[in-house]
Amino acid sequence: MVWIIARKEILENLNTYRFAILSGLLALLMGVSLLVSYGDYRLAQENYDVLRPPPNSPNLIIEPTPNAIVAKGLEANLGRLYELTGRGIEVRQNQQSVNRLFSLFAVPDLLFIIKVMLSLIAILFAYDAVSAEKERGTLKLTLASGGERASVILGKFAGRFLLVFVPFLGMFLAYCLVLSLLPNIQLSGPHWGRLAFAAAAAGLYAFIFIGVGIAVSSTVHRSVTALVFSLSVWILFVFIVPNLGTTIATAVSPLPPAERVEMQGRLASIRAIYESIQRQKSPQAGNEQLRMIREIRAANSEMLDSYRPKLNGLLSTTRTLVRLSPAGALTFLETDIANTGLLEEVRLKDAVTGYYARNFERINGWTKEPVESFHYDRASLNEVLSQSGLVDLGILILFGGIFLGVAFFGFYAYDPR
Amino acid sequence: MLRLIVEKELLDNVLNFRFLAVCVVTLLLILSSIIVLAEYYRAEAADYYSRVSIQDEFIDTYGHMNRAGWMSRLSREPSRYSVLVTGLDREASQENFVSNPVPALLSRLDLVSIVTLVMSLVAILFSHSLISGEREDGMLKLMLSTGASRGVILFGKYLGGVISLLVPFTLGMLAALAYLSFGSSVQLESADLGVTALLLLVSYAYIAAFCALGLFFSTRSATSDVAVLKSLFAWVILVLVLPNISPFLAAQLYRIPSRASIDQQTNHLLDVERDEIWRTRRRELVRTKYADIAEVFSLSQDEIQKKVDSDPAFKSRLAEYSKDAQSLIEQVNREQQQKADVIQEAFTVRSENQEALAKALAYLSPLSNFVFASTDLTETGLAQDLYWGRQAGEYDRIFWAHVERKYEQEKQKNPAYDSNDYLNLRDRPRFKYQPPSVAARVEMVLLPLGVLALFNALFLWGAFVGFLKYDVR
Repeated sequence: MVWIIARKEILENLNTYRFAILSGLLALLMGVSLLVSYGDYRLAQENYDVLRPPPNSPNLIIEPTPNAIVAKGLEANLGRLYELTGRGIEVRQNQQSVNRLFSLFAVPDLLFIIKVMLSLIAILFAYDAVSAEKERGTLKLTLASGGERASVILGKFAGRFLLVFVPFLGMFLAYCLVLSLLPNIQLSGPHWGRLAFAAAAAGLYAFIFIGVGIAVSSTVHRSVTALVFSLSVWILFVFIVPNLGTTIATAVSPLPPAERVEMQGRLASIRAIYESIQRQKSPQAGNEQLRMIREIRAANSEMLDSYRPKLNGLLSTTRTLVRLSPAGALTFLETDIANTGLLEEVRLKDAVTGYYARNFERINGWTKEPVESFHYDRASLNEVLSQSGLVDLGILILFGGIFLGVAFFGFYAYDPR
Repeated sequence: MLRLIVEKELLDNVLNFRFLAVCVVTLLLILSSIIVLAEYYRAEAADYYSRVSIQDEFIDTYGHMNRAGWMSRLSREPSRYSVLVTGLDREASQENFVSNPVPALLSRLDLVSIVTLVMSLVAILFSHSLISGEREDGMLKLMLSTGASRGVILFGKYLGGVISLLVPFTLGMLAALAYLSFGSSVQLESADLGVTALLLLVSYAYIAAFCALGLFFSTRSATSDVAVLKSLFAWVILVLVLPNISPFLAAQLYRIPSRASIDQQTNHLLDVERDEIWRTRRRELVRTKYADIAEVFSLSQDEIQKKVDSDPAFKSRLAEYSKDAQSLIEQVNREQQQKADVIQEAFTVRSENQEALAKALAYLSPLSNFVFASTDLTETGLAQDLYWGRQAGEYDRIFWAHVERKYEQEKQKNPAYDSNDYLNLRDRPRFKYQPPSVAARVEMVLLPLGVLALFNALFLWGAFVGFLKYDVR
């Protein structure tokens, strides 16, 4: 019975104007996204070739990942050049575009399309699943013909989900195929694993919004009301909760602005240098250079030690609040899988800080040994899943379960007349 | 007749549940965003003033010529309008190792996101059924049979729809302003009311444009279901696609080298190439003018010193050579710097062209026009970046002139004084950023506001043409 209902749902919608327009829009957007994101990756690659320091240099940079084409996340941050000197760690931003419009608008990568478009398409396919049948009078006929409510709602879920996800999956496979054939892109086994995981997460995400649409449709009696409510939930989950969560997190877990931390480090360095020069003028002066660098290092360490717990606190609050929306959980999951998320940012900074600590004396020329060569591997899929991925995945499954449950109970109490 | 239709539309909407829902949602969203952003602004402003005071005290205590520029780095005062429009998020530019990465990944909820996403979608949901819905209910033919012209019906419905949307939005904004004036630490000035009024005007134009868009598709569809789909399709393209792809598309269509490669080229000119040119010309100088002392280049420092002490003619030729060599290296430096400046200027021009192309592409979307207008009005956009950059550069020049003058004065008093000695800079000029005047800001928003008005006119005209041919049965 479930399959019969699902088949009916698919056949009913397959030849509609809605299916054609939404699938066409999705294909168009995925094509445009691939084009612009690939161009962006090529630019990042060119910049990397220009900026790549010689081996055993105290300047560090990591290679751009092709995963950023799928989810750009913090890739622009991760691709910065880190300059390590006796005064501390500085970043150079000359790999970033000078076009300031990038800062005003969102990145149209595949993650954006999944997060915004796939969810909207899911809503538009699901909002009338029950209420429209009631309006047309076919719902009571279905139920009168012996269809159990559980089978009917499960069939509708399955049918509408397949209607959204199968075309998306087809386009996603085409996207990956084109991506793998593009010059300068070499997708290895782990890349394909990540892409498969990203597609699975997208499927789960689409299921949640199918759930939202069917849950609303099972609780109201007119399709137009269902549409208004479903779109309200969509906008709440996709835009309001993540953005408001970020806003609230910055207010409740205050972090000193980067400008303050930078100023503290800068002034501490200047003071140490100035005082060292003044002391050198005295006949009792010792090794002032050494003392100066130690003072600068102590000030920087103290600053980072007090900053780090606050940053961790902010990241934790942001994750908690933003995860109240499936779009938030998906953003964290997909960017972490693509090695362009918060997890990778923190991991890289830890690696740079650790490298700096290990090589401090060599960077300052106190020993004749050259600095170590910097080697950094982005997090493996297993590491991503164990650190935060499974939590985000669990949250997505929970959301899916909740809306499936609401739709189920809503439909059980639904008056089909 | 027009008034009658507007009143009917208003009454229809006001008595509808969705009007109440929009009122509550708008009020909650605007207030919650402003309350949180006001708290954030308070902390940010307090930190800014504390930073300025710490840096000032530091310069007073540790001022010296050598590191004067490093110790007097300017930071930008947060705009009090950031409680309404966050605009270009400076934390998102990630200038430091310790920059907070969250703003680079997720944006904050402000008035711009509420208007551009929520209000535009609500406008579509209110207006897509204005004509097609009336046709489905059978009301349209009744209205036309009363003798009302199609133009009056269309315009009346548009006006009624727009007013029913602007009322909840205006109520939300008034509540937010009341909170800002009486409940927050943000000090509003009289000019702020003008800016807020203009911001409201731009928001009205934006929301009305999406009402007109919904109406346009309503007159082009037989049923509301189709109208809403078409309207949402257009909404996605205009709000989510065009603005976001415009900078990326511009970067593909008009390619410019990265800053990194330009830096690499100029560093090469000012370092490796300069040294090569210098070596070649020096050899030429020695060959043509100083062949008699060419042996000097194969001697050690001690040997040169011995020869200088023992041979006055050699000493004099060496002094002449040193003078010529000095002017030669200065000339090479100047020439190389000119070459580097040409590259930098060409890069600046090309960057500006790319940004202008991205902006031109973005103008095709009402959202971008609203973002440009609202950020420029509230000193949080691209224009303010330029203003601030110009004033900061000018201050730098004044500050350096002051430092050099003070240094010269000290040097005259004490010839042993050096650039690492304490320099009293307590009387230095202080930086005070002068934001563009309200009149200048109004001038900046005229173009985006005009484009928004054009969108309204275009969609309305399209709706009118569509409605003339619309089958009301």
